[in-house]
Amino acid sequence: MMEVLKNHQEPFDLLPDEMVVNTLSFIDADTLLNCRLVCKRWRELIDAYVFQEKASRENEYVNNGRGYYSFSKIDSSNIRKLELSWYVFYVICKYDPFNRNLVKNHCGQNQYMHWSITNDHNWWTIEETPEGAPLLPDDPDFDGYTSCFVSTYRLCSKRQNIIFKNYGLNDIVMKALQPEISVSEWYTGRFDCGCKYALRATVHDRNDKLIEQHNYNDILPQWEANIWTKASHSFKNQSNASHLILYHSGVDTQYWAGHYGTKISGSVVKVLLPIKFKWILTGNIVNIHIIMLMENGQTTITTQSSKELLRDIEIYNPKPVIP
Amino acid sequence: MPMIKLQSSDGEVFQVDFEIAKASVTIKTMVEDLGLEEEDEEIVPLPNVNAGILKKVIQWATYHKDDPPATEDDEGREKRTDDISSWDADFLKVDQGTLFELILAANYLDIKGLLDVTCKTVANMIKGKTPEEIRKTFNIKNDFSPAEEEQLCYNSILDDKLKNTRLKTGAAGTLKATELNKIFRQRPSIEKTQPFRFQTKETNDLDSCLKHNNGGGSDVADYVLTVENLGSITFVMCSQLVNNYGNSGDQKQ
Repeated sequence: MMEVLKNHQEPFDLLPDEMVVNTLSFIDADTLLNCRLVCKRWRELIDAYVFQEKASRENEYVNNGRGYYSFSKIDSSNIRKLELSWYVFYVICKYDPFNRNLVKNHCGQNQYMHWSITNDHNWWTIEETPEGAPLLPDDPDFDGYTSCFVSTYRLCSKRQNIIFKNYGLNDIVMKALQPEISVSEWYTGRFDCGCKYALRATVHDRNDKLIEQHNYNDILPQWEANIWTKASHSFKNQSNASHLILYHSGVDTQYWAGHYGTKISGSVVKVLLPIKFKWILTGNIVNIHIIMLMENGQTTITTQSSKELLRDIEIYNPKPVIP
Repeated sequence: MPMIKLQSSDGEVFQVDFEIAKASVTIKTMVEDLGLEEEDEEIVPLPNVNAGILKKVIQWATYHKDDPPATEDDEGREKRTDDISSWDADFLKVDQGTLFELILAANYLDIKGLLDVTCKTVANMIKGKTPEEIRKTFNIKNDFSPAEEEQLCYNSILDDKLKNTRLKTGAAGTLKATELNKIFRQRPSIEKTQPFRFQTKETNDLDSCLKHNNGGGSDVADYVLTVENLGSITFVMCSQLVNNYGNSGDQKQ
């Protein structure tokens, strides 16, 4: 019955742009890619409005109403104003990769799944709740889990390879956004035994070449090791990052039999979505106060003239090169 | 019960219960702004809606008159396209012209429920279709220039070829050299004498692809084809297998 075309040979010609955008925004992200190839009008509307519209309306109900992780730092009503290409919106609608923890099994809730043990034998153990140490701090890093990995008197190490492309963060997205990648992890020792902790995060490009690395070491002396500490680092402007390897190790300092060594939990790797809004050019140069919400909840305020800002946006936010 | 008279663009007058007509924010506002009373013989003209469509709209509004008004809570539920009630689905089994005119009418009369359900119905007709199928369904003219078209063709050739072979990640298959040269038009041409043996990978997990090949055996490919489909753009990377990855493969640290 639907195939019958009466008066209107091209029914979509009936609809104003706004209605076409509204209709297309109900379509799944992958079919929308096909829709871009249908005709010029559709392509223009999809590139300029549809993905924004879709992301914005879906943000009301995805993740049981919590919205996209990627947009967790901005208000639903501001999503349409984001200075992002349609392709980034597509990636968000499909994978929601930003501002969320990409480390799997980050507290040992699934035993050793997703981790590669880098010793010849697995000396680690997992404690459902930390023994001889305080409970995990009340922090969203743990997602409500209570467990941790515990090392022994022999050096225990393991690593996890986080491949960004598996979350839609391919070369195009990375080059266009040059996002910041944040890495953090919590560690402690037992009240009665000292320990050593080491964290190494390495960012690699698609040819596996090392781009940047961060090393962090700590020695917790005996009787003073009993507090959860967070090690964190940010890799800025990661336009070539293809994967990140998170490696950590621990050992006790007393060489005691049993698992008296470092306790590790709450490993987090997040790719942050740069928040830049579209600016309307008026020709007037005005001072703009930029309020940035930092990862740790603090805010910083900087003032910049609109002219400088626009120049910066051009420099730091180049249009993605699509062949 | 207060009634209201609505006049379609072609002059037909419909008497409607005001409670039903209120589904339209446009009519509701008009009535309130004009201060129309129950006894008034005033007729509300609707110059953008013809009698056939207006009749359908009234039918829809009558059936949905007892629906609870949309609240913040079910905002989300409403956005899904698989929740069209069977009554609505039956109601919208109409020809495309009528369906699109209903969208227009719902937009003009500002009836959110009807607008959503009609847009969703059209969206469902598009879902999962290829560009050509979409054009056919809605009789849309392909207005891309030959140059743009060629770019699109190039992508669809690749896609169609891969569709048959992309059964599992790492599936091996063969492509004829001519087809492959079509795909790699801008690249140096590939040996024409032999069929091109390849492996497809949807993600970039080249490592495991290569590792897989280290084992030898009959399904060893000579090349690895990595494909990233971005709709209009399909990135293809073709790499010749070289044995510099070692055997364990687990050396990154």
